Amino acid sequence: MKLKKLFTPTIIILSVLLCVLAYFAYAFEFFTFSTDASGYTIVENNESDGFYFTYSNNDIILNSDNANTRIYALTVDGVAEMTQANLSALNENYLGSFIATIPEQTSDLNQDGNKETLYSYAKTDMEFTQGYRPAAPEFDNQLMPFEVIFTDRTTISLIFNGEVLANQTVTVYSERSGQAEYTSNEAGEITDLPILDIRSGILVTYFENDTTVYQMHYQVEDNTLLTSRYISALSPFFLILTLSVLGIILCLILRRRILLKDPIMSRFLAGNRKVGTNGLLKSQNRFGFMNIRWLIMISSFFLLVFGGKLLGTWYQNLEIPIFSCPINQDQLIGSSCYTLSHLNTLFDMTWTEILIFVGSFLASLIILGRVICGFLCPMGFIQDIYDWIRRKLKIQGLFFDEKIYQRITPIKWGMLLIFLVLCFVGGNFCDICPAITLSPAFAGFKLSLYLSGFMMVFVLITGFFKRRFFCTICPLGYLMGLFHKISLFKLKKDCQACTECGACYEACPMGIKSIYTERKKKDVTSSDCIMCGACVDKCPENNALYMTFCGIPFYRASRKTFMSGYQKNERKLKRQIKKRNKHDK
Amino acid sequence: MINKKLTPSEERQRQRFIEKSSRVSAKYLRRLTELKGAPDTLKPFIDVLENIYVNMDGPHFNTKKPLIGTYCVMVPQELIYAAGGQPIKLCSGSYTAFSIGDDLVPRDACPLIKAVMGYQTMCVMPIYDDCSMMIVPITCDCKKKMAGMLKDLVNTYSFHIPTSKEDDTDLDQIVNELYELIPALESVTGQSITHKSLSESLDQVGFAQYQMTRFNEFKKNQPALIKGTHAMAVMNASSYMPINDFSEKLYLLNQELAKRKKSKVFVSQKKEPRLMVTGSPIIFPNIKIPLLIEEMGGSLVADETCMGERSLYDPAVVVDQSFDGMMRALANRYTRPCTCPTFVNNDQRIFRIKQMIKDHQVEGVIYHVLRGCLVYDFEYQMLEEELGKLNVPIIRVESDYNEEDIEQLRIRIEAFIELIKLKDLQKK
Repeated sequence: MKLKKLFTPTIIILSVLLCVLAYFAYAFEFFTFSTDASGYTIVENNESDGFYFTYSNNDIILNSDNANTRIYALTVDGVAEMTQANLSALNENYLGSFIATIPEQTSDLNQDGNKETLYSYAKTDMEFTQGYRPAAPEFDNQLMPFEVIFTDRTTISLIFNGEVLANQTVTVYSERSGQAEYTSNEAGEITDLPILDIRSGILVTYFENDTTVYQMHYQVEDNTLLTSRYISALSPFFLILTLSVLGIILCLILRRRILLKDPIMSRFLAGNRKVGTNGLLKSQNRFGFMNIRWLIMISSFFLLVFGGKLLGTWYQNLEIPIFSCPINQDQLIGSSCYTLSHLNTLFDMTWTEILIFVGSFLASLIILGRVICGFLCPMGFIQDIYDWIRRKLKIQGLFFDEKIYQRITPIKWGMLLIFLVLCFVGGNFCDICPAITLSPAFAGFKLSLYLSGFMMVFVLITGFFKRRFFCTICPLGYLMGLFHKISLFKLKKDCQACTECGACYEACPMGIKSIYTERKKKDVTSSDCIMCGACVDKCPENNALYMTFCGIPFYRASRKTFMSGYQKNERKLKRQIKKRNKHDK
Repeated sequence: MINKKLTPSEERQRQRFIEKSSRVSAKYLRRLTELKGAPDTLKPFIDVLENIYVNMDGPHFNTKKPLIGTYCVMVPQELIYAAGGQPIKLCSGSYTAFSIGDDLVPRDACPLIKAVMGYQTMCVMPIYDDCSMMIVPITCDCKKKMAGMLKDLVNTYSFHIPTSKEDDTDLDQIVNELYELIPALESVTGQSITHKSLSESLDQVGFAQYQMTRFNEFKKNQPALIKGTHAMAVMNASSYMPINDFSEKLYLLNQELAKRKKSKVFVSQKKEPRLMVTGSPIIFPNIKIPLLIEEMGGSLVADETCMGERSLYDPAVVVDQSFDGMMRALANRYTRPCTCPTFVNNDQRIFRIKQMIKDHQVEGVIYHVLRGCLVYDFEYQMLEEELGKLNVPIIRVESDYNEEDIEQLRIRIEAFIELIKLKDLQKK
């Protein structure tokens, strides 16, 4: 009894604690990548044609056809010229931005017959300089009057003689899509240059007048798959996996110790300990909607991680509310979670950007709704994998009853508060968000993790024992759930056909009880529903539950499909009877 | 099985009892087989009933498994099979045993209890005497007191059922009850319930339910493919058959019904009123009501009684394949969809009946109440009101375990059938 009384206060204290922790999330370092250039070396390669930087593991290679190159670097003390002595080993004083110059040349670039004076530069930024920050590293404009600056991992802006180069046309040659002309806007930004082009390396040519031409090659340190660099980017994720497995084992041992004291349950420990996949009830497993859901989830995971590289990033203008970290630039579709958790950035946005943000948010709410949670979200996917593993190992899970769901709502409110308000008081939700550990790491982005790493370990451990635990406290999902009435996907019920067998309630990862107690309304979609279809999958009554899109049912419960696994048993029986009849004759 | 030596008069009484009991059973069995349209594959089921009630033989399957007697449909068969036992449903419909039990229990107790107590004291039925243990779910008052009385005679286990099932705590209670039942079962059978054995028994019972689903689909056919009384006999026989045996026989019956459907062999005419029976359990040999319905020209197409469709209707839906997950699935399957009127709130039964009326195109409902079965009697009013809205006629028939009321029942059922026929004519 005492324990029960303590439950609610504990939850409230926990949610307050969570809010406080979120404010200081940056102080909890989980895994940090070095944010300086130490360990890297600059190698000069004078054999190649052209003038540009490339990367190869820990080498920054300057390719040049000219022997008289000079390399400048940004250091904590300002711009410094590199000498042979410090090229071979960079130290922590270097900020990760380098520019190389060669003496001015003459060349007829616009082929008008007159030779122009050509100033050539090559610039590179190492990955850690490209974080979300208001200002990108900038060099001395006395040395290099023309500079290309890559901001926020998304935009290219041009600077000339210390001022932005507004409304000017430049020629951009990119490794990916060749040569094209772009015009900068008022702020000196080239907005319509695809990000994949930028990342492949660009050569920007600017004709100041007929006699002077500036040329800068810009290369960012890009993520490349399946290299040692990629594996090192994944290492925090592996650390999280290891910690979560250790945590799960610890929980299992603890539970065993508690159960041993229980007079009834202690008897069953021996049977439960036997971990393995044999002896599973196969007849209720069949190929169907749930397998399709898995396929969609897997493909959505890969698209959200690598999709941008394969299919281009045009879709990134669309932002769907999904916990797939937008720091990953290879993501197919943008995620509005960053804007939602940093609402203060709305003030800096242009009207078109705000319109796109609000418009795509509303559109995805109407068209998809929380289908995003059940089918697309990578956070849901990884939790489902953990749950699947638990089922396969026949480890007993946790069952939450309606009271526990009710009692953990303060945590959900706390999460929502953190999600929406933290930016205004000077925190950063990304430091506590568990999703940041997943998709950028798989795409090969090196991200230092703070409290979010610990959160992810927590999410995985709880997700192992209770299917989709995080989804019950997810602020983004809750926000989407508020609009479930206008969503086109609906879960409906034939109240007369329902026998109240409660199978749907047992199957529901979100613990929605009204789905089986409802006897009046046809529409049983609730704000918690993630549209995973588990209830329809387990419903044994014909048409009792069905999912609709725009009112058109596309997945119905049916006893025939529910029982179709037993057709195998029937065929077996048929063979047996045949054999016996033969024998008798 | 009788410990004390019988006096000659007691011995005579016993002989009379056996003769009378088997004579009544044989009569109803004959009426059952004489009813037109019995499929050939119904014979194994009739044989089971004959063996048990006429020949007074043990369950005629050769099994060394210890028999576990159960009452009500709320005792999980899956657990008994998993423990290596053979469940047998002992709810009785015998008129002869009823007359013996009449002296043992209060006058107003329901006849089912009287019949059970009658068999139990006479010690003539092998299915009662060979039971190693009896599991009595504490549902209605009569069952509760019966459990108390049985305790003195046999090894009885009281299986407690909460009075409501709305809260999650009620389900937790059932799960705990199931966990407590396991050691009791294991001590009787000497085998332990493991993950493997439980999943196997779930699979076997699930397959029987799959065959039942097919069977129910055939019952929905219009005109009828099988007489409702025959269908009830099948369900009654299932109480005394091992589940694999039952599935096999039902599979063969289903195959025959499928053939009938293909070649359009029907057992009823199109204009025959389609009726359903609900209410107190109808147990062989007390099958006078279904027999009367079909002899009077009605077509019994569905039943909502615990010895009928109900007992194998709801499947155990295993969501989580851990041992605990299967136990939860069992607890769920045996309580939540159960339309037993002993629960405080039982609105779902009305929805179930409405759905059955829709599925089976039922034109009239016969509400069967055993005398003294209060819980079912309580629900009649509400059902009458609801069906009135649907314009489906309903009639309440009260009966007892004797043949005295048979003429009265005949008149009422005949009138009811005529009423429906008249209604059909008016429609046209």
